[in-house]
Amino acid sequence: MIKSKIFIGFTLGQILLLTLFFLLSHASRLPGRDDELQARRELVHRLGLTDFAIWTEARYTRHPSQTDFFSPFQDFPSSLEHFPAGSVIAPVLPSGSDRR
Amino acid sequence: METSAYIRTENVRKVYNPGRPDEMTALDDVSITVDRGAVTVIKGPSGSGKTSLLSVIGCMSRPTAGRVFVDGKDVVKLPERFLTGVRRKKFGFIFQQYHLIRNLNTLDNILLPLYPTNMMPPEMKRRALAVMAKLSLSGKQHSRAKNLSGGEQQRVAIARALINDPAVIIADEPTAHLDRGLAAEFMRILASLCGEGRTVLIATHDPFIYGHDLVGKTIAMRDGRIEEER
Amino acid sequence: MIKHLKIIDYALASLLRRKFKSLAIITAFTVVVTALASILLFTGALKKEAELVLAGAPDLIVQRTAGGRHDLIPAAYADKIREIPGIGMVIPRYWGYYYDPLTEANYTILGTDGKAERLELLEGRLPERDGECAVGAGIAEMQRTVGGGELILVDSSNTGVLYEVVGVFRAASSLLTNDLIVLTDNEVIRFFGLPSGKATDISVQVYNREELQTAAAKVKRMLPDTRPITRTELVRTYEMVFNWRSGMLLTVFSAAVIAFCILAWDKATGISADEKREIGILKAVGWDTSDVLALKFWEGLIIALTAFLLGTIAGFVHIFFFNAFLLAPVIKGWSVVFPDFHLAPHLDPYLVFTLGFLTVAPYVASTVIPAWKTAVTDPETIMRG
Repeated sequence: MIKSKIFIGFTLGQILLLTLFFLLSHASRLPGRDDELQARRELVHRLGLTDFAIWTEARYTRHPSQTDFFSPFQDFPSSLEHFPAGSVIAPVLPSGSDRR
Repeated sequence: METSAYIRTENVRKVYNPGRPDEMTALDDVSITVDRGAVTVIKGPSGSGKTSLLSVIGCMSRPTAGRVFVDGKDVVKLPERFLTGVRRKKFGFIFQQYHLIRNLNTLDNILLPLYPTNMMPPEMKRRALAVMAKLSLSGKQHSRAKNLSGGEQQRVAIARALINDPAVIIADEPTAHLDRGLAAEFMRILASLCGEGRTVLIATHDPFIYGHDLVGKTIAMRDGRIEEER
Repeated sequence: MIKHLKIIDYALASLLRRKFKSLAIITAFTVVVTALASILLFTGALKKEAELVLAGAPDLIVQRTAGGRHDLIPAAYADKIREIPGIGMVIPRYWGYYYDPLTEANYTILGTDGKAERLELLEGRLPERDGECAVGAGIAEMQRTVGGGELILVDSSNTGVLYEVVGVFRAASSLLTNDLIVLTDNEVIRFFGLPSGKATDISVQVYNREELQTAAAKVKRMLPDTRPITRTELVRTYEMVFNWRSGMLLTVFSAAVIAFCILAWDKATGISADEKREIGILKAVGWDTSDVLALKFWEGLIIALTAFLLGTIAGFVHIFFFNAFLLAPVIKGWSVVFPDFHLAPHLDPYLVFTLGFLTVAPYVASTVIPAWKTAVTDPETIMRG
């Protein structure tokens, strides 16, 4: 039964590792991590930042939370969305009121 | 040796593919007895229903009609799980084609019947090695079945049939692929099994078998019916 | 228990007898799970990061729109907004984009009030005079400049302007500041040639956070040509990364589903003659239907569970220990300035169970079900063929 024991041991090892990862993600609330978070929040607050600096390929992809609904099609009336970021992030449609 | 009917069939009928164009009656009103501790041979030409009768008796298939008694119990109506239990505990089957798993080694082929039991692996291995020693297979435990000779494959098939210490050994055309020397060797092994008190049932059309001194009763079949019983 | 361990042993031996095929399936399956897990973990981590970090963002940003597009907003609107009850600080913001033709990169130029503050994630300080700037780590690297160094930008009148770099944002903040150039508000106005009395947008503080939507509605009613954006919407933006309707995820998922269907179809279109023969032998030597099905179940589970666990672990390690280096080129697009993803580890058990269920269950089913018909048949019938 050595094969089954090895398999079960290996599987339990992987489950243990995933459990450790889960604990790690919650251990992020430790003081060190909290300080880092606080520093980032302070930065955001001081500079009034609204978005992550991820998609710098176009102006409207840089600030997706600020972008109006039409910018991806801005070049001409039947323009298609052509920046790769458009295929990664979908537009946020606000609940209620007008479309963005 | 006590002789009494260990196995008994009553008006057994087996029809394959009923209601279809290729419907075939393999057994028709077959009633036989197999004595405990004796060697019984079922002889007949190819297509006479010998293999079908062995399958029905060995609980490998259910008859279309009729009853089968093994050690006094009617096995036909048993639910599948119990039927499998009877098959595993009471019968050791040696197939005409041996039906070994080709890429498995000798030891693992012999151990197959013991996997779905609660026997511990060390005990399983001990039993297998004991049986292999009896059949002169020691040293072949790691050889793959596909690399064994015909005679060796047959002995592995016999070892597999014996591993559960069954009361009945069923052999279907055991000498079909063997030369005379190996056939004689097979009969010597059978003699020792009989000496242990086991019941042996053989289906064959080889006169070397059914004419052998070891054979107690011979049942002749033709076209799915019993022709003669001696 | 012993019986099941022995059946698992037999299943493992059976898979090892076909080791190349088994390894190929596990590898392909693991790669698919790694891709899916990476995307899901990345999205989850980014959402969590947004929730935690963008909690410091302005409560409300008020933009002006003209012709459905963003337009500059009169700074005087700030005075009107201040009159709304429940509204705190109202600050016009000055910011914009700068395209550097040399590096073909887009930068964000952000104005600040000129208080030369020190921040933990800033090496140096914020600019207090017009000729000073603070830059993100990505820009410092692109422009090969450091604190105390220089930066030349071309303003709206096509004139080169020299700035002294008084601060460089630390790499730990690159997700927020990588492409930022911080100037004083006056310098931003001069640099972009913004008309007098106009701002890019207005940042609004709302005292009661429960009243964000109400405040936004009031602003909209008072100033119909504006578009208020609440902080809630800001955070929700990052829930839309790799949203199932986004092209990228649809493509990856479709490819994964198609790969799966091909695998399942291959298994489900019937078991091979060899497999049938093996089941027949097992039944003949005393395995009953449930033992055979248990064997098939374990064969499927060994492969699927191993691939799922390995794939999830690989996905986690890829995103949180190797900074999503395989996903980054996919997300990056045509960005020239792109941050390193130092995301905080985040593992949602619900996600793991869902992914597990969606990957393991179909594979196990596609292993067990085709064997079912053979497993319930009499051994004699199986061996007759």
